[in-house]
Amino acid sequence: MVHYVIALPCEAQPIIQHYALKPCGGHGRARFFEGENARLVVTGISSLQSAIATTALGNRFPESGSLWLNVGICGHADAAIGKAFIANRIASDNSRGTFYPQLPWSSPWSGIGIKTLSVPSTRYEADQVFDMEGFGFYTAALVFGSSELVQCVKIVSDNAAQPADGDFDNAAISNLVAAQIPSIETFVETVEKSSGKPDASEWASEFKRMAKSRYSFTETESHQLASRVRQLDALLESDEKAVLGGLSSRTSKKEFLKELQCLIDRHSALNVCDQPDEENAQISTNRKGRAVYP
Amino acid sequence: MFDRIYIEEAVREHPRTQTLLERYPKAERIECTRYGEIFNPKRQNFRLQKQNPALILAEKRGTRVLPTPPEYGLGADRHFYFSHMLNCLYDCRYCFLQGMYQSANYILFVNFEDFQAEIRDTVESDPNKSCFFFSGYDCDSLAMDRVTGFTDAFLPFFEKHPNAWLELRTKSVNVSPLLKRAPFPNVVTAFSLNPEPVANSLEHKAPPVKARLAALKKLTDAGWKIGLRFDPLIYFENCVEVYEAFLDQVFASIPADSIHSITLGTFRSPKAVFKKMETLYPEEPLFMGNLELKDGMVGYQEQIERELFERARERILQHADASQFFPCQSEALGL
Ligand code: SF4
Repeated sequence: MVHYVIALPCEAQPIIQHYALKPCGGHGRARFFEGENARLVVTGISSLQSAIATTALGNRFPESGSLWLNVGICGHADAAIGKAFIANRIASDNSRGTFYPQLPWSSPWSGIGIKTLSVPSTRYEADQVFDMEGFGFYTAALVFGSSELVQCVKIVSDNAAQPADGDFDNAAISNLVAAQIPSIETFVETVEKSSGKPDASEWASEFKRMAKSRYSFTETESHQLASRVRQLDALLESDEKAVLGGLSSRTSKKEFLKELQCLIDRHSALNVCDQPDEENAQISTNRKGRAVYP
Repeated sequence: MFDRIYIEEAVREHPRTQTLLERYPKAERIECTRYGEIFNPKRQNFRLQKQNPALILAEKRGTRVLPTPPEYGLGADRHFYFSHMLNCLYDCRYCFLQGMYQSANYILFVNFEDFQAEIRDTVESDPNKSCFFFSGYDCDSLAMDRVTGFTDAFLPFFEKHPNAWLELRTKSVNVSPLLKRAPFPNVVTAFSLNPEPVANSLEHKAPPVKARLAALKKLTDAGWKIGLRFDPLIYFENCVEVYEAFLDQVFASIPADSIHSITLGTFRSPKAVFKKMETLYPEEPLFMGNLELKDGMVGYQEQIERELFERARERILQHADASQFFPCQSEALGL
């Protein structure tokens, strides 16, 4: 899932269309949109508005591991209109501190520093772009994702040769964003492929539900149950999991939790290393299907 | 090799910085005031960053040479460590660095001359006492030597200070910086070794054990002293037999008089570091079973730990002299 945070409706429009997002409420003046693979908030202009709307979207859809992307226009001294950058440094004209978004993947855009301004300026500076949201967005989005998963993509809409005049040409801005969609798409795919966590299996949810229906766990025991089931989910093959249902017929929950731990002890010792299958192949696989080299 | 290089203001003009920037002209350059701005913030994911770490060029300030805990001695009068680099090219699943640092980016402290001045002061503060300096506590000493130029700077330095010993702790097979020099006695290249099943499963991106043993052999043939580091021993099914056979194999391939020291320890980790490693790799069997918390450290259950450690110790002492052996856990195990 990717969360887009975007200041202007005209910037958001091509992305809403691309993902076929549907309106799903809002917070104050911020408007939310949702689809199968993406969510989006139109925040309004300013660092503060962006921060408020980012927080509202994150609270409305709490989930870890999502990519957060702030996409919007910016000003640069001499880069061509339409050129896009990804932020490698984000500072603000009225807040202390600097963010350094971490990017352990290749990106279609060159990196650049962003300076988030509280009022528009045409006193462009070399080697960085001006925007009005990045710093607020980043501050707020870091609550919901780690630095690698919070990124700002900025598209040059004005420069010293064609300075901003305060009036937005909505159609032109939509076109600038639309032209970046293929790159955004590639980037999102790269990140999602490299950062995805395996979801808990159906077996894990079902096993926990069954255990909880049989025993009344204290909070500490519930944590133990969740962690042991997660570990067994990773350690066991499906046929081994299938026979675990019988465990819950034991009388005491302490004994039940202890049995789970014994299974973990046994299976972690079997799975921690890939050991070659001496009788058969030169290259074999261990129980988790990883290749084993002699 | 690096897509991004961060450059701390203070070392922008340092010759080592300039050389590295020339070597990697395509890397994106990002200036910062202090490396901590990039390395220390909490909301970072070590596992994600490990896919493609950036290089941070920085200045090491404050104390650069620190005494080691008493249990990490190797028979010298005094023992110290220093870290010219933080983080490692390899990705061993048991490595404490992943639980200790927020970031997997490499930090290279380019002010080698300040490290050397402090090492010199330490040695000269008590010239009659031998000092041992460990260089691979927060990194692998040799793995990134082609980038850092560490050996080119430090081998000549230690050659001039015969009462100061240097340990190069490594899994790298990059031993050419040593082989191109005449050997001298106060540098010990210490290889971390585990049997193949452990290395293949847990020592990601590190050279195969066979290649490490071959590199070791080249060094001993050339007359350099080597160290053997069997730490951490990992518990798995049949591990005792596997370790015993492995120890026999290692000692059979090395002339005994080239061995400076042997250390031994089982997998263990401070609780907070362990928790972080486990959170980063929730699917990793190493962090799941047969462990217990004892005095703030997570390690194997006592009976497992004792058997594994004791059997490996007995085997080592069949091949080596007790004076070469420096176990890391005798106190905890009451051995
Ligand atoms: S070689 Fe050493 S420092 Fe590098 S990852 Fe492995 S354990 Fe850590």
